Parts: sequence; structure tokens; C-alpha cells
Amino acid sequence: MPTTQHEPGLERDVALDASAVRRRVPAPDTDHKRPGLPFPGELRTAPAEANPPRPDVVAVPGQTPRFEPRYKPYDGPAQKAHTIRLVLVGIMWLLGLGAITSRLAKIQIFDHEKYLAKAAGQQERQITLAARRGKITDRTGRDLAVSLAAASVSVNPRKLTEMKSLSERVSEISGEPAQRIYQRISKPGRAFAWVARNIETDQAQRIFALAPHAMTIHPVTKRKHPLGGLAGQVLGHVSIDNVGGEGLEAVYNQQLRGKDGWMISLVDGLGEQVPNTAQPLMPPVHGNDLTLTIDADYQAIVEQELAKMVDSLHAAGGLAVLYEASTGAIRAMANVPTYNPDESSQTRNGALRRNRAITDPYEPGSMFKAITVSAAMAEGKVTPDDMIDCQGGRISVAGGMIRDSHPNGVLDVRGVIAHSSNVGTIKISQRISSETFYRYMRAFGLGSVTNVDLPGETRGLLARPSRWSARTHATIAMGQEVGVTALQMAVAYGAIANGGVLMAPRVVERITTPDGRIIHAFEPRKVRQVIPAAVADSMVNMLCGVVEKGTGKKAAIPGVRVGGKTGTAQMAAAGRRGYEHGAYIASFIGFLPDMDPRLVCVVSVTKPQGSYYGATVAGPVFKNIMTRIINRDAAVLKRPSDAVYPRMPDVVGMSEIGATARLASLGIPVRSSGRGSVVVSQWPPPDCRVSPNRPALMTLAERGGPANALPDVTGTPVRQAVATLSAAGFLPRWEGSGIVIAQEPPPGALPEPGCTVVLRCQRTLGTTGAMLEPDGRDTPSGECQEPEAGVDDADVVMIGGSDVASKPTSLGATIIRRGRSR
Amino acid sequence: MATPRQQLRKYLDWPLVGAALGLVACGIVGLLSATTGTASARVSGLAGIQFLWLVLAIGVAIGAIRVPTRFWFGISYILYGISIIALVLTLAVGVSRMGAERWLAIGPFRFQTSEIGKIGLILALARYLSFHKVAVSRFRDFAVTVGLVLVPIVLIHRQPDLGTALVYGAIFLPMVYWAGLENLHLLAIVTPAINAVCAFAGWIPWLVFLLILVGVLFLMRPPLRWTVVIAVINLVVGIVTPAIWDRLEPFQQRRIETFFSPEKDPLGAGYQIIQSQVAIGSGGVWGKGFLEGSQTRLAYLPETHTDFIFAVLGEEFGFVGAIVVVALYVLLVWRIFRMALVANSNFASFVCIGVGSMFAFHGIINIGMTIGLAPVTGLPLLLVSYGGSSLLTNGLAIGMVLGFGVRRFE
Repeated sequence: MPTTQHEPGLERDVALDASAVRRRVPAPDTDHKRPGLPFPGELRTAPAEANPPRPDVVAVPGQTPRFEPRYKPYDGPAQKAHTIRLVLVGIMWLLGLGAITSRLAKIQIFDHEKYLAKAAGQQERQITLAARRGKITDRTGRDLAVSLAAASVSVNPRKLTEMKSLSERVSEISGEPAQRIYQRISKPGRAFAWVARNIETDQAQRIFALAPHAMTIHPVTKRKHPLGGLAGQVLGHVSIDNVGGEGLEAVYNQQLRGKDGWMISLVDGLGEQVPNTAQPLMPPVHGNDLTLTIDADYQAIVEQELAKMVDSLHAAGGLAVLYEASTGAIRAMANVPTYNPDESSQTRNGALRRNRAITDPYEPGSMFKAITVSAAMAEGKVTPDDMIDCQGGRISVAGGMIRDSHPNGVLDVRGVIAHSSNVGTIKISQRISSETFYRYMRAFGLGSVTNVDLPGETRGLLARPSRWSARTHATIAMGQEVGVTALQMAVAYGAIANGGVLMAPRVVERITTPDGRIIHAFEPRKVRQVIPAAVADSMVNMLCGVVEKGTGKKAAIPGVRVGGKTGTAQMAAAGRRGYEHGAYIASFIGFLPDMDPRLVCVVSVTKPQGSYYGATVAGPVFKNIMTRIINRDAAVLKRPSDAVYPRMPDVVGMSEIGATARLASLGIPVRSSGRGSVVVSQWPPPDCRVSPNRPALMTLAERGGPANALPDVTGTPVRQAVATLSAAGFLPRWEGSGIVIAQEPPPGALPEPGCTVVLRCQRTLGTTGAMLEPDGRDTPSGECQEPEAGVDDADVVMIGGSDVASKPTSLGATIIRRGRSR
Repeated sequence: MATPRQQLRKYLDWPLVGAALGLVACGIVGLLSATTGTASARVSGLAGIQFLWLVLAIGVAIGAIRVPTRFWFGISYILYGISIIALVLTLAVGVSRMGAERWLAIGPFRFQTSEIGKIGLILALARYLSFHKVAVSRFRDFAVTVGLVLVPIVLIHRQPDLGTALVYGAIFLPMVYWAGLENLHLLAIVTPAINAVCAFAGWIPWLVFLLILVGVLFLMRPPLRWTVVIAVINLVVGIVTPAIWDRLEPFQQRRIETFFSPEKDPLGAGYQIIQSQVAIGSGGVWGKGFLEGSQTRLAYLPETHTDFIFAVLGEEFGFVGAIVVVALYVLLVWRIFRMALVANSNFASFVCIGVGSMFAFHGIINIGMTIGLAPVTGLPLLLVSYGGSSLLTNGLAIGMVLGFGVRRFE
């Protein structure tokens, strides 16, 4: 074996030392297979060699052997020196392990919350469970607006490679311009973009199939209108985010949309949702349904007939409102051109989707004359038979001249209305003061909103008398210088048709839950008695004359007596004073049947070309509408009073049993007071219309007893008590209000007829009952508005919103009931 | 002379056996969790397969204990040669998975050749270094060792598998150091590598490194020749690093970039690091409980059965569980290194150093990767991660080491 030379600079090399040791190992590496002989890797390990001390360690003095056989017992110094290297390596690994341990402690103990939140943040997702929007149906339950299942498709643009071609292929399916889609999905840095929204489910499936790895389908609902654009302006539309815009959708948005629910879903690392039943869940509350007062048949008839006329005259548009006078229910409300909320091109057209029947005031023209004359009649300043000199069709007002279109001589008031004489109407209006005139107009609901449950209603234009010019009184009388909406006009005529009682217009009948439970039912609501019923009835009569032999002949329906009034007005010029040349609004407002009418219909056609008279343009529309409605449903000819409000019979003097049976046969509930078998007084008086909801009151006494025994009124509301005593011929006085707690003289006493009875009253919570509802609309006297004596004697009627009605008693005494102002 | 059986019982390093079996047990628990309830058919049932591999590996280990040291000595070069051929074959006809050719199919079995290559390298290096004429401080001998390690490194790097290539380096350095490599020489080899990493990390780490280097050189006072050599090498590396960066595979670049700032690309290359840390961090002190780890259940964690199995354990068993795994690893490496001290031959001692370094490097890099301390290299956690060839190889390595211990007084 060659001796290894110590190279300069490598003297301290341990391997050399080791090789020096190994020199004494006899076997070359080729010998290692020989049994018994150690191979070169084995250093002195044979037991034979184990015992000798380690001469090699000290054999090379001055050198530190580092790479040595490792017999612990023998290798103390060598091992120590060598172990340093192992310790160095060990320290290196320990540093690594120390770093790992401290890092583990940091993220698992100190930052634990942070990572826990991170994990939850990416694993849990709140999923909205969309509530189904309630549907809107007409009064018979036909769907006008429903929410159908639709789908939106979103995309994660980061997972897309080819956006351009994808946009084009999506565009082929959804119909949206490819450029718009591309703009949405190509916005940089976004992980979410809508590809298509509110499309049909099968379209969504086809779009999804274009890039299933990147797209998500979101189930949504889409508003659909099965009857097309029927009553579109009334319904309004629903935005893409399920928020109602305009119309009923806006007003009843909260009711319709319901409340979305949610659930927590787990999302895995691939973005897939994992079914998860353990997490909390909040089910959605579906939206409530609206049932409208609108009748889809009527609405369709009105829209069709109106559109027919608008088209044939190339008019700018048309409005019509069909209104049930006795209940305030709007049966149809049409705006032409019509509007279909399903068409997104139309929903963007603000002018088209506006419900102009309530948002756009216009001058009513001659339609207004009925209001003027009603006011004068209610004031007792004129009767239908009074003769008015129409002065050959010209009258000077404040230095100007106002003419009739056709000169008239002397006409009675019926004739003035029938021939629509400006001069006659002005002369009639001049019999009442401007303030009175104004009060009546306000009482008819003009100049204030009708509070119908539709958005954007205007109150019209009606100046206070203090701001009137010298001409204004006269011009308003014939329907100029005043702006009304079609609905206001219908409501005002409704008051005339309804015995002077103005009903609050409404378009929603009831709100029901999806399973049919009624949440809210909108009852007919009486606003006020505008004019006495007798005045109203004679005005109805006069208006029938208009159609029979006056300006409204073209609205006549063969075989049916209808009433109505024409109106032709110039349109106010936009942006300046005065009128627009050649621009007219031709109107007709009418009702049927003749007595106690049920339906009022106002028709206005804007800017008709050629013919522009209300009689020739709007009259036939009214006629066609009403004819079709009668053909469809002859029940409209039945007077509401016949069925709904029976007339109170005279039961005084009848036996208790007989009276009760008589009232029951008419459907009138009854409450009696006093003891006895004979009815001595009743409320309401005979011939009044009574609501089947309100009990009539009768006072009993013993047969043969004094007819004028003082009835017992304690425990009854003061109004009832006053009414009972008045009916029995006494003069009640009362102290306080509420329930009668004591009366003087006491019940059963036999005072002189007409003597004063003093009632002490107290307001008692909980026992006052419906009779004393603070809105004052439910009082029994409210249902009995028909005075028995001549209305002309009434000295107080309506003042604005606070109603003061007169009630002549059988003795001619006048009880003045002062309603609470609201 | 005790009977072989008594000798075995007396001298078998039971703590080492316990550490190894404990780690495998952790691995099977983690595997059960990683594969339960997963829709992927690829991983379901892997725990059972791993158990079969474990039985096989224990058999291999028991066999390895009984094999005399001279046998390992004898086959070392042959095994090295075989592993090199296998690596070449892998490159030529290997089974490709996830963009890398790391497997060699023999019949129905797939074998990760780089695993057996590690044992081949360790044995070959140990045999060469224990040869009495060899002195690693001599350039010629050192060059031979470098050659021994470079061949498999180059072959594996071509697969490409940078992580495993680094393991070969991590095995090589401690072995030559143990063989007597001069501190100065080690410095000349190691500093350029650290230099390159610091150069990536930014200017400040690089300057800090340079200052430390200057300080170390000052303390050691090496000959001027070596001072110059180390300085020049480091400067060259500093300049060349960007060039090397450009030559790296894009996914390698991304991994390194992501390691330094994973939040830059949370859905891309940084995803694994972030999700793994979220899993471990959300585990807390006691963990979420077996099969309760939501990150694992919901497939946020990638490669839960192999590279990121430590994250599964960390999530479900918390800091306590993670520390148990780390402690078992410390015990394992300590016992193997200790065996290097007590072994009765240089060859055995070198093998112990090589095996211990392999386990230590795998452990630190893999765990470090799951908690954001090391780049994502694709190194499994030995004995814990799923992998048949790896388990067999490691069983063999541990059996060898145990055998050296049993025979240390022969």
C-alpha cells in the first residue's frame, strides 16, 4: 500500500490521520468478501483488535484526529473533538426545528383567531333565499302581474380565456348586444360579472353550457304580465333588483316583495357549494298578493275603445277612468298609448309609463259646470226650474266678453246644463260668493289629492279666492283656470252620482297572504257629504237631460238612460301663459244607470285632429264603453242602493216582533232599548238608506202606555241618545261627550212633548264602540243623509274637510251635529 | 457472545423504532382524514394501501436489520449504479404526472426512482468516504464526491424535481463535513447558495448576509487565498443569480416568488401556502378534532395526502398534534445521528449521517412549507406522507441504521 503523502496545507486533515490509522488494516478493499477479515470500512472493530489501546490516536503527535473509530470506552478525546462537527450539524437542524416550532406557536396559538376567521370567511357563504313577489290580480282573481321563475347568469371572468367570442355567443341567446356583454365581463380585476339577467330558465341553461367552469346560474323571479300591458301604468314595473318602480308595484312594494330568507352554505375549495344541513336557515317570507278593484274586462274594454278613438283621430293620447260611485272602487283606469311593463324599451320611457289619469291636470271645460251649478243649488241659490237669461250668448265679465258657442235665450237651469251655456253657468255662479264656490270645489275634492293608493298623484290647480282675478270666478265656473285630473273629475261626479256623498277612490280591494289569508281589506270609505242628496239627485236628473236632448246626445245608449256632460277645453301652452293654438282636450263624463248611478266614466282625448268637441270625440267612446260593459254584465244597471243599502222602513207603532222581522227581512240589524212590546221611536227615520253593517235603533215601551214616555238612553252613545230623543220628540241637551250615564228627567217619565232632556255623558274607554270612531264616518247619521224636509232649509252644509250636516227633526227643530275636524 | 436474538433485543434502538412507528401512525391518521369523505376516487382508500405498504416496509426494515454491514458496503456502488440507470430510464420512459416524470413503472407498480436513488447515493458516498485513502480536503477526492452527487442531481433536476435534487445536496454536505471537510471549504460551498437565496429575498437580506460573511471571515482569519476565493465566488453568484433566475422553469420561478410573497397571488401560486397556513392556524391549540378539519373536508387544502399532510394534522390536532409530529422527528433524527457516533465503522457512521440528514431536511422543508417558512418544493414528509416507494426506502434506511446499532459492538 502506498504511503499517503501529506500535502502542504493539509497537514491537519483528519482524513489523512484516519488513513494513517487505516494503513495498519491489512486487507485491501478487494478482500472484503473474505470471511473474518474486516473490509476497509470497518475499523478495528473485530473483537480481536478491540482490546489494544489506541496507539493511533497518539501516534501522530500534535495532530487532532477528528475522524476516528467510535468506541465510546476507548475514544474519549477523539470522539469529543469529532462530536463538535456533529453538534454543528445538529445545531443547524435544531435552528430549523426551532423556527418551525415558533412559527407553529405563532399561527396556531397567537394568530389562531385570525386564521379561524379566514377559514370561516372562505368556507361559509350566506345564500339569499329569494322571496317570491306577490301577484297582482284583478277583482275576479285574474292575474295582472305575476312573478315567474327566471334565471340570471354570472361569470368569473378570471376563468375565461375568450371573452369576445363568448360575448357574441351569449348575445345570440339572450339578444343583448354583444358589445355590452363584453364590456361587463372584460372589466379588469373582477371575479364576478353578470352575463345575462332575468332571462328564461332554458336560455340561462344554454348560456351556462357555453362555459360551465366559469359560470353560475342564479334563480330569480321575473315579473310577467299575462294580460300584456293591461293597466300597465296602474301596475307599474319591477326593477331588475325586484324593487317596484311606479304604480302599485312601488306603493305596495313592501307588501309584494316579502322578506328574503337566507341560509349558510359551505363552499369548498373548488367554489362548489356543499349541501349542509347543520347550519341555521331562515326561510323566506313570500310576498303578499294584491287584489285590485280593477276589473280586467272593463279595463280591456276601456283601453280598446279609447285607443280606437285616439287612433282614428290621430290624437296625442287619451285618458279614461271607470269609477264605482257608491264604493269608490276604480274599475278601470286607462292611459293611451298603453304601456307594457314587460317591454324593457317601454319601461325606460318615463312619459309613457306615467299614469296621466292622476299625474297630469288639465282644464275640464264644460264638465265643470255641473260642479258649479251643484254648489249654487246646494246653497239654495238656484233650483232646477229657475229661469236664467243667457243674454243671447254673451256676457261681459271684468271688462271682457265671454260667449256661448251657440247663442241661447232664456233657459231654465236644466237647459243651461243641457246646452252647456257659458253665460248661464256664469250667471248661476255669480249667485254664490267666491269663497263659497271655492269651499264647494274643495269639498268635491278638487285642488287636493284624492289619496288614491297610486304614486305621483297631483292635487291639480285651484287657486285660493284671494288670488283670483276679477275674471276667475266666471272662468272657473265654466271649467277654465282650474286644473283637474281625470280621477278627480270622476270622484267629484261620483259624489253627485252617489247622493252627494264623496267616496275615497281606491284601486286595491284587499291584500292577502300567498295562502289566501286576508291581511287587509280596503272598505269603501266615505269622505264627506258634499251636497245634500236631493241636490245630487236633481243634478243627476239634469245630467241625464244633457244626453237626452243636450250636447251629449252622441253618448246616448239606446234603451238605457244615462247622464253625463261634455267638455271641450283648450290645452294650456307649455312654458307660457295662455293656450296652445288648435290643441284641445275633448272630454265626456257620464254615468249610469240614471237614478242612483253605479258607474261613472270619464273619457278625455288629448289633441284630437279634426273634430275636437267633447260631444263628438269623447261621447261616442263613453257610449261604446258603456254599451260593451252592459252587454257583458247587465248587473251594472242595478242601482247599488237597491241591493246594498236598504231603505229604513217606518216601524214606529209596530210590535217589537213585527218590527224586528221587518228589519230582518231587509237585512237591517237592530238594537233596541227600553222595555215594552211596542216601538215608540226609531233611528234612522223612515226612508233613509241604512248600511247593513250598522244596527238600527228602536225604543220600546209598553203597549197602551203613554206614547211619549221618555225612553231610556243611558248607556248609549250620546249621538244615538240625541237621535233617539229627537225622534221621540224631545229636545236633548248634553253635557260632555261619550256615553250617556244619566238622563234628566229619568226614563219612563212622562214629560211634555218637546221638553228639554238633559243628558250627562262621559267618555268611557272601550265601550264607545264603532259609533264614535274618531274619523266620524261611521255615525248612523252619516248613513241617513236624505233629509225629509226641503234641502233648501238647511242652513249649514259642508265646509272644507270638516263636515257639518243638518238634520231636520220631525218637530222641525234642527240638531246641528258638529263633526270633529280632522 | 450473546445470541443474535438477545443481541437484537438488547442493542436495538427502541426510541428510534418508536419514533419511526409513531410518525407512520400519524401519517395513517392524517391519511384517513385526508381521504375520508372525498369524492375523488384517486385518494379514497389510500390509508389502507399505505397500511399495506407499512407492513411491507416493516418487513424490509426487519430484513435490513439482519443484513450485515459488509453487505451494504458491498452493494453500495452497485445500488448507486442501478439507481442512476433507473433515473435515466425514468427520464426516458417514466410515468408522467402533474408535469413531472418521477415514476418508473414496473409491471403494475410505479416506483419513484429518486427515492431509491437517495439510498444509493448515501451508500456510495459512505463507501467512498470511508475508503482509507480518501481525503475530502484533497481536491481530487472532493471532486469525486461532488461527481457522485451531481450525476443524480442533474438527472432529477431534469425530471424536473428541484426539491428532491436539493435533498441530494442536503445529504451530501453533512456527509462530507463529517468526513472532514475544512470549515473554510464548507464556507466556500455553502455561502454562494445562501447568497443566492438572500439575493432573491432583496437588498436588505443580501447586505445582512454580506456583513455576516465578512464577520465570519474576520473571525476565522483564513489564508488570503481562501478569503479571495470566497469573496469572488459570492460576488459572481450575486451577479449570476438573475441570469439563473431567467433560466428557471416558470413554475419554479412562481414557487420562489410565491414563497416570498404568497399574498400577491392568493388564487394562483400562493393558494397552497395560504390555505395550508389557514388550515394549521385555524386548528388552534387542540385542533378541530379527527375528521373535523373544515379546510381538509372542503378541499381547500391541496395534496392533503402527500405534501400537505402536516397541515391536515395541524388542523385536526392543533398545536399539540403538530408539536408531537415535530418532536417525533427530532427524536428520529437525534437517534440516527447518535448512531453515527456509536457505529463501529466509518462506513456505517457515514450512512447514519446521510440518512439522518435526509430525514431532517425533508422534515424541515416540508413542515416549513406548510407554515410558510419554506418554498413549495414538493418534498413529502417522510414516513408521514403517502407514498409506497418512499415508505419502503425509508424502512430500508431505518432498518440499516438500526442494524448498525445492533452490531455496534461486533
